[in-house]
Amino acid sequence: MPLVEFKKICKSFKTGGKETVICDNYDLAVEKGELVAIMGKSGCGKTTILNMIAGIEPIDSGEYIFDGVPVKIRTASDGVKFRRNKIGIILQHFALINDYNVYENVELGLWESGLGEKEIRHRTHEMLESLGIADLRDKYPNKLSGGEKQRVAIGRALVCRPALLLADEPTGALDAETEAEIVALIKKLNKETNTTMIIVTHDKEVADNCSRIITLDKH
Amino acid sequence: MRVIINNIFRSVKNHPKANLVILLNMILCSMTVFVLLQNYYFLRNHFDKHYGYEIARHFSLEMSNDEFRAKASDKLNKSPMYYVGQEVNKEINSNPHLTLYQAGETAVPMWLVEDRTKLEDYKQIDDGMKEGLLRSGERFSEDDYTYIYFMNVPVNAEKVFNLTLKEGRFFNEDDKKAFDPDVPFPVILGNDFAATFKLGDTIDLKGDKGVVVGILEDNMYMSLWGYVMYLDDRILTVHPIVPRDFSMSMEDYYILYEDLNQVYCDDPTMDVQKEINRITAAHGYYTYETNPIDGIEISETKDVSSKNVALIGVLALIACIICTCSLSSVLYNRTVQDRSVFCIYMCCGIPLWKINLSLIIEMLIFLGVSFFPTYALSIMEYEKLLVPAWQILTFSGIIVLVSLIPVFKINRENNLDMLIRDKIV
Repeated sequence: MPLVEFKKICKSFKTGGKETVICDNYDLAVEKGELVAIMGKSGCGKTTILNMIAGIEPIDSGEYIFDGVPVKIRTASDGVKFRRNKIGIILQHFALINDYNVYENVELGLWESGLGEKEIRHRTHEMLESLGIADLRDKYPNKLSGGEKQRVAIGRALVCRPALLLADEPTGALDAETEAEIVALIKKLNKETNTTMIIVTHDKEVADNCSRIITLDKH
Repeated sequence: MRVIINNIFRSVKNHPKANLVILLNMILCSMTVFVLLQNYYFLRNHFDKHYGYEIARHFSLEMSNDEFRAKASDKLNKSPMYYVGQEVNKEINSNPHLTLYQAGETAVPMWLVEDRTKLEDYKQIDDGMKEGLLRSGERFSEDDYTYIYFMNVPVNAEKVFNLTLKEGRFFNEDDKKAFDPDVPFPVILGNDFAATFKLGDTIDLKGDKGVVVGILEDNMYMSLWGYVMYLDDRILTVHPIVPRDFSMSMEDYYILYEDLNQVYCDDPTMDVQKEINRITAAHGYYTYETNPIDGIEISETKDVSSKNVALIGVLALIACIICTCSLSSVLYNRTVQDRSVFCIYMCCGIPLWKINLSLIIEMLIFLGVSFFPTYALSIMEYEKLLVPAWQILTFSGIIVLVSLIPVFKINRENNLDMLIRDKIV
């Protein structure tokens, strides 16, 4: 049973009276534990598909099934509930809170988990160790390199042990060397944790490291 | 809870300048509201309530020495001014809220008591007098420093001093007229005497005799020149006790010795000085200065006119509008700066309502802190908070809530797409 399944999904935007179709009867299936790359040219709808999977963008028509359960999202709060502890998100620009240190940024992923204080501390520490950033725990994001920031972001996304990790251009803001490190880390985590991962990228080298590549065409 | 606490700490740490402006705004708001409400309360004559002590019910009527001498001379000579004085007294007493009276204490030495068997238990020792006599080296007996205390009270003592009887009756106008040494004068006894005396018993003083017409309830007291006099061991009478000159007619006696120099007012909202001034001025009589005996006079409360309150009200309204705009603007800008943080929170599954709730709680904390300067000011100035705290806090709370409306509006627009597509400025 696929973790993420789109059945005949339609999605379009109206901008300035002109309708832009992103998906027209689009089907997608991502199996559990898969590491999938979504590629395509700018404006082809990569991020929109990512947003629909994350429950951020509503779907015009069609059926979205997550882990065997149909997803119905009507309000933003439905989206928050749907994502909570199920989906982790990492972004190109890391989206770290500069007022919190590395530990707190990772711990943030567990604030709504309902876990006890002890368990939160244990999991956060475990995540920092597995990402190799335990020694940076008291540092603030503005003192970190791009690669370190992205590790922290990955830590925050995975600390709640989600079923799915969505990554939007995770290496877009990194140099080649750091990019390779992060891709390797994502691959390692995918294998170790068996977390399903969908990466939106326009970078062929990143996509080649994934188990499957989905290429989108511009409508 | 974790989200709320952490977000409040982050916000306090991250926006020191904005928070300072917010705090100053709220302090200003709180003080403005306080000044407005305080003056409004003054206007409504709630002076006694706020100052924590009673509005005076008893006032002394005082004159300058010259006027007093002139008045005494008028009384002795029964000059036209004396009759004017009688009119003034009548007019004061005709006011349903005012009662003129005279009250005082008379210590009757035990040697004046004819039949002391029943009174022996109620005599009181004047230690000062005893010491003085001892020092003087003169011969003296116990009677020289032991007394029975009488209280001279007005006929309507029950009204003026709020007294209640255990048994018997209060005084009446006829009691005051009895001036014959052969006719006993009526007395009302304090509760302690109930053990020995009953109604109709007599108290025999040399040349004068009292008859018990009433016994007071336990713990009765009267206010006399600012002091609380407990009446349990006192004997009340409307008659002057000794020394008395029975060759003098009762009328003459009263003319000479009675000086209605206290006034009782049962209306806490009445400006007694103003009323006395009105009466004395209408008759061209000497000026009485009224001084509160057992509390605070109320006339000061009239200093704040309703026009002043209206003016303060307008100024307070303007100040509150300015505060609301300023507060709203600072809060809005602060929230705009925090937008990315809130979007990251939402990305981590934290619902928007929790973010908004943390903002409300933060503002409530500010509200509490901002109230302290007002509280401290009021305590320093009046030793009490003159306006109920909840009223100030509610008013300031409304201003905070109104200021938060744009914040809630902008927060509603927060979504992860803004974060993903890097749309947050």
